[in-house]
Amino acid sequence: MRTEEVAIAPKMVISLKNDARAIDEVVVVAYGTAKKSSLTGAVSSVDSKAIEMRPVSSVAGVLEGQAAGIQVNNTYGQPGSDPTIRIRGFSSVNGSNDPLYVLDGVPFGGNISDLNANDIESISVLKDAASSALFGNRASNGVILITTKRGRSERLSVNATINQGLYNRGIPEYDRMGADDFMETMWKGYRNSLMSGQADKYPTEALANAQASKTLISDLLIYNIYNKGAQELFDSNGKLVAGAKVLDGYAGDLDWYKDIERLGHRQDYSINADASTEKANYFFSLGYLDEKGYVKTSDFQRFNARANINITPRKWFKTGVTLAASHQVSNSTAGSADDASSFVNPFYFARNMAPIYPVHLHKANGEYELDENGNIQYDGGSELARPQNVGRHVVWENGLDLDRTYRTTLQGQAYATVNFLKDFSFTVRGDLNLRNSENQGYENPIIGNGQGNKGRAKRVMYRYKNYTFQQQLSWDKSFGKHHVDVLVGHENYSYNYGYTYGYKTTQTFSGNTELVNFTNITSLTGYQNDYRTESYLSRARYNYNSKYFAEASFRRDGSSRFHPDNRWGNFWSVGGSWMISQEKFMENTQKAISSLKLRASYGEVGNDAGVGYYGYMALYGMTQNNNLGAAYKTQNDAYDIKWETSSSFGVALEGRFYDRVNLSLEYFDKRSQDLLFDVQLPLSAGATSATSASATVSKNLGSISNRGFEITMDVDAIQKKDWRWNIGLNATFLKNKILKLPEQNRTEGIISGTKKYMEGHGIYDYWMYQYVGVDQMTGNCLYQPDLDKYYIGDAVGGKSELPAEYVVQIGDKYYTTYTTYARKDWSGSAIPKVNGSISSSLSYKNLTLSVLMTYALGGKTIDYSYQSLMGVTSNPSALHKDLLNSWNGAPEGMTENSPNRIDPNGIPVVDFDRSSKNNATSSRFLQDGSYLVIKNVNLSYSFPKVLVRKIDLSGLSINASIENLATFTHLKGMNPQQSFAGTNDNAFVTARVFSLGINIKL
Amino acid sequence: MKRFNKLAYGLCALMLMGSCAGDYLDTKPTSSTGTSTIFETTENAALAINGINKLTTRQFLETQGMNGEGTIKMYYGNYAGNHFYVNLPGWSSIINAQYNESVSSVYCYYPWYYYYMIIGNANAIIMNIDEAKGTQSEREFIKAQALTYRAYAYTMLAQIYCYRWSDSNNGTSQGLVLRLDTSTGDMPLSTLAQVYTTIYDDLTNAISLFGTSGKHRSKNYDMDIEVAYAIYARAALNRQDYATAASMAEKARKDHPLMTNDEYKAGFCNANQEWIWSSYGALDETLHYYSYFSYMAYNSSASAVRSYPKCISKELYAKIPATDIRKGLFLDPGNMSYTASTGKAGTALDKYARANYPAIQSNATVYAYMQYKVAATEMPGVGNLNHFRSAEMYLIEAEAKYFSNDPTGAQNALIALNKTSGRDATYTCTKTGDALLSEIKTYRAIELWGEGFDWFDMKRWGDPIVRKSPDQGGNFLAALAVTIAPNERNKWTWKIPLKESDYNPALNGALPE
Repeated sequence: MRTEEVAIAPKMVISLKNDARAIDEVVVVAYGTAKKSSLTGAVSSVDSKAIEMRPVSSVAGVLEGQAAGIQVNNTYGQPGSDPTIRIRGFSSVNGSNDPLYVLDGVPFGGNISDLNANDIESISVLKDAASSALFGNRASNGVILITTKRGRSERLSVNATINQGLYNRGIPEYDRMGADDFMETMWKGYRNSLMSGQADKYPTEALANAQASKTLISDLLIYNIYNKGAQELFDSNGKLVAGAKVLDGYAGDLDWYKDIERLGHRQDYSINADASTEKANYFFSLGYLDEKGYVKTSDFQRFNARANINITPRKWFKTGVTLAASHQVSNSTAGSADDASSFVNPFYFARNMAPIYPVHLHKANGEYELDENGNIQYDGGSELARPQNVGRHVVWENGLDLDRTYRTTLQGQAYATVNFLKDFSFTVRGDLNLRNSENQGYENPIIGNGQGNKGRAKRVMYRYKNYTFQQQLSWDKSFGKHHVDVLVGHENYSYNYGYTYGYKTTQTFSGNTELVNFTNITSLTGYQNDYRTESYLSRARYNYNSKYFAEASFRRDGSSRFHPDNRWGNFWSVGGSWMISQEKFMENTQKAISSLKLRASYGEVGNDAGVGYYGYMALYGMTQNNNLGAAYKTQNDAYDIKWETSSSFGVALEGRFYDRVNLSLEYFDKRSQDLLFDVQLPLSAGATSATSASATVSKNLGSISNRGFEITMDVDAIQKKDWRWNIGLNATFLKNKILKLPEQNRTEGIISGTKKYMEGHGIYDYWMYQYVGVDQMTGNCLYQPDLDKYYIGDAVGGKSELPAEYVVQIGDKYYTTYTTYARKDWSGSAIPKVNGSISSSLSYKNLTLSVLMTYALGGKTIDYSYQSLMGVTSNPSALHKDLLNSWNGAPEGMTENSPNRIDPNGIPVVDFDRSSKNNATSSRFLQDGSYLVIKNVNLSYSFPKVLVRKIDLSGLSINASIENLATFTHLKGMNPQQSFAGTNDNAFVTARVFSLGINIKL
Repeated sequence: MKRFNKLAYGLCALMLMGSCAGDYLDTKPTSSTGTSTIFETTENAALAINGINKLTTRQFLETQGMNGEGTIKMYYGNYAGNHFYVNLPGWSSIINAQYNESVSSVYCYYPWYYYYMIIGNANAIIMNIDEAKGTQSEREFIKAQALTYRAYAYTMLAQIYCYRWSDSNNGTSQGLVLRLDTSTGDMPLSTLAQVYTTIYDDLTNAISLFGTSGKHRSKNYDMDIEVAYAIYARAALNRQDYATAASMAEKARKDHPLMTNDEYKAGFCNANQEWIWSSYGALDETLHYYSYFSYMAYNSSASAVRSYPKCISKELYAKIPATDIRKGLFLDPGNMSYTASTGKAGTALDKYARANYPAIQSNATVYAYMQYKVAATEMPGVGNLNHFRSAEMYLIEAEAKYFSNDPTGAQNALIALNKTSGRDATYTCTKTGDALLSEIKTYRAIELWGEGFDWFDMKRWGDPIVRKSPDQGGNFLAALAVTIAPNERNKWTWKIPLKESDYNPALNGALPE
């Protein structure tokens, strides 16, 4: 039970660790450690060497591309943000698909970004139920085990690391029109709308053209940034007249990103010391990280300290304490997909701002309108009645406003182990994790949200406390070639948080953002929530001569989210592995087959995150009206709900060949059952939410499978004394499929936005209006009509009429121009057919160049940002350059019956009135979501020991690293990794980080 | 070794003791409460009634402008109407009623979502209140309030999602999903006639229960018997059941004398004698920029007002006599200049407006014909929001009596509203026939301008929307100066939203006979 011997054997080659590599290393598993050769389930791990190379603020980010079966989206370029991770697919529809994080053996309640990456010894990912079953509850999405460093240097060792880096935007902006194209396109959209929408008033093109030229600016655009008068700007066909150009004074003031983005700066300092003796070991560290993001007003500062101390005063007794603390200060900018149309989201505002509206105020002649002190001034939109985003200004507002979070975390863990009766040991372990965060919000009285209240400020306080208490008894025994170990235990987990929210308006003095400086209370509220689980667990492991391994576990969990009658669930696993290469009959092949292992496992684990903390109760939410208590329905009861379970089966063959090729093949079949599901009721059943227009009830229903293959291989292409080159590849082929839905939904399925849940289809399969193409006679988009619901022509009983104005007949086929009457159908999946990574590590003596690339092929993305840039309405807004190819009159020779009358790749006519129909959400806006990302390039050099010793050091290395060097996608600007569900909206994109580091060892 | 054995037993015992107490997993929420608690006593059930009161004025769907009842008034009644101008070409889809058939649009499902949320809460009260501890009188009063709410919600839904009565083939056309209990499953559509039967039944019950309970509300935002009468009158008018409409309207207004002229000019943001029912508003329960007043009140600091003040149509304004106090509630440009195409005031007009109404925000834009009728009590848009007042009841009487061939009754109602109240001391009405009907419509438009009736009235009457641009003598921006005939846009009827039809296969069935 000397768990401090977790140390991972130092490796010759710094490279990405693959499943098949180093078969005898010790890895961290549930409630203990295991030799890699003994594993019966799927475990991938990453060690500190791989972590050190990566300039990331959240250590979970290093998992991207490190092993098959793990999908990581880490493209949210706000410093300090945590990535989202999926292990072997998506098993829950409603609840969380996030894995369980376990830190030093105990479920971790904090943010991964609370941790200093330099304190991490290893990260193990438990991918299947057999590995994670011992974490039973909440383990159905896999487990990420993070183990911190312990003292292990024989003499006192000190390590200092300094990293300096630069931060910029890693995915470019969409191709948007400049002012000239924009003006002409808006003119055309306006003219076309006059003709299509008010044909009675504008029966001829000439009349419409004249009206458009006359009133486009005065009625709609308001601003004229050109050197010609508003009515002299266009010729009779809507082209800018010769000599028309944007006034010089506007140069450089029409790009709103320019005033938002910056070259960020990253600094990371870390120092740690450790030592180990027979009786004690210790490790302590200090860290400071300061990241300034590529968007102004987005930064992250973190101080960390950690001490791990273990003592063994007697052979039979061992105890230890870990204490870790962090303090963080971060400034945030609204920029998540949830804020996709927030005025303070730079990616919404700057992206969509029409290219004729400047950041600053200008005079009619284009020169800057200066204030009395001679300074340029922002154009807040009200001054000149800008028709877009009036009274809003993302640069000005974010400059004055505040969204700052102070976060303090404290984590302590203590344990004591008693060994007795030779083979028994008993461990008691307690872990307490406390986190406090205070969010300070302030909105200024000059522009934006705070303006109407003469300034406003809020404080949002969270106080989290979670603790775990474990008692474990284990028995470990060898009889000759047999080895057995058994573990039984009990564990309880409690999660409590308190929330306090205060809001005041009407500022007294400018420049003071504290609540005391505001005079009206508009909100003051708070509450607490509790969540608890209790578990009994057991495991037995057996091996014979390190050749045959078997393992079984059983666990029983109770959750406070379920009704007392349905609260407990049983989870278990079995697994076995066989070291084929240890067999006698393999002796002759030892040269070719250095090692070969076959393993198989099956297990079942649980998930309760699909419902809220009080998931089974019928609830009335508390509020007030006229300072009197008020309550309304917020949750329908669900007394029957119980644990969602996930079972997984896996079989794998792992081997090393010719002592230079590692290869691992694995088949997995992970199925979730009794999914916790918010079943959509007809909206007339009465919505239970004020924020979402849906009536729901929680139920256990349905089953989803994630089946696939994982292939992992790497080759030592060069194994010379000075030159070494390792190339690795991994690929996961995943097929997600809903196996079972409740009876009532079996035929129709359950629609969820652009997706539909239906048996035989994946949870991220699109179900959308079917776009056919652009009608070359009219420029309208044509969709397949829904003839199950509507009839065309003669009335059909039980069906409604498809109004003739929306019907287009071509030959004997019907189409509709309005998605309301269009047919929905399957339109592909957001889940890539295959994803994985390619890596290379090339070393010459002490110099190593490593490259990591990640890729995905075959998924589809619905890009709402692009859709919005393709809409042309009387609301001025930025436009995509693709609109320059929009339909512009029937092509020469085109007739009603031309076979090529429908252009599937066409761009519809620009027309303010028809835009909502032509640019409606349909299969037209699905993009190929395949991508290739050059995730990390790292060049490192370790100075020769001889040299280093001369300056009284024991090690010295430097490295240069680029994170997210480049992202290649089908559509410029799109971020296919924004969400696993395949949606892309206005949000932060990947940050590219250039980093230079030095590591000094004493 | 013995010592170790004991230790082992001790440890095993400790392990067993490690099991948690039996109630360790029984956690309770603090920000909400169980349904059983709510219906345990009448005192608690009153919280559920006040909860519905709150639903009529709170933020919804994280979408600005979605504020309960105010949204219905603003987007559905005002924006889409005939006499309400705002310089928002970007809102032409709503203003020109182009989304009626966009079944996935938030504007299509908002009323459905909002009113069925009220219905669901009312149904829970109706189904559970009989078991609550308390007096019989308390149970009756609460049940009557819930029934009144349900009737109101169905009255409003019918106007939005069903054909106007005159197009309904005497009520046999499509109605609504008539949920009258706490069921949540599939349910077919009723006919429009069935909807009105239910509304009538609920109100009849409510009126009877209000009576037997012997209780009365203390706050204008609570439901009471006169509110039930008022809803009855509005529903009956829509159903073209004129006798009922007239008699109910009279009962509803009986205890609510019309506002004085001073009250009329006080901004329509605090309840007064004329108000029959309203929603509550205060700074410490502010809806911020979501509220009706943040879109409407002329003194609001919200950009939706400062940049886009709400204006009356020039044509309707011209119809208000100079002697009428209501003429003073809009900015008459007189001879002062303004940008014709948009209505934006020139310097002189701007100055004039601010001098007369200093509460206009200094950074607001002034428009010709902008309104001063509605004001906010606090910024950016706080106020109590009226839903029923006696003026509407007089106008219902006038319209009902006109269609009941009682021109004198109609004339008298108009005289009571306009002359007796003092709004226009010189007012007289001797018109008959079409001229009388036209007079009723005009005064309805004037009296209730901005209060969310415009589109609903035009729909009920089967009149076309005809908005005129400056070239045609009006003040609507060209893009909004449209004509919409009564039979266009799905007969002005919003289609049932996908959020219902996607989850309710029973909708596809045939309508009941």
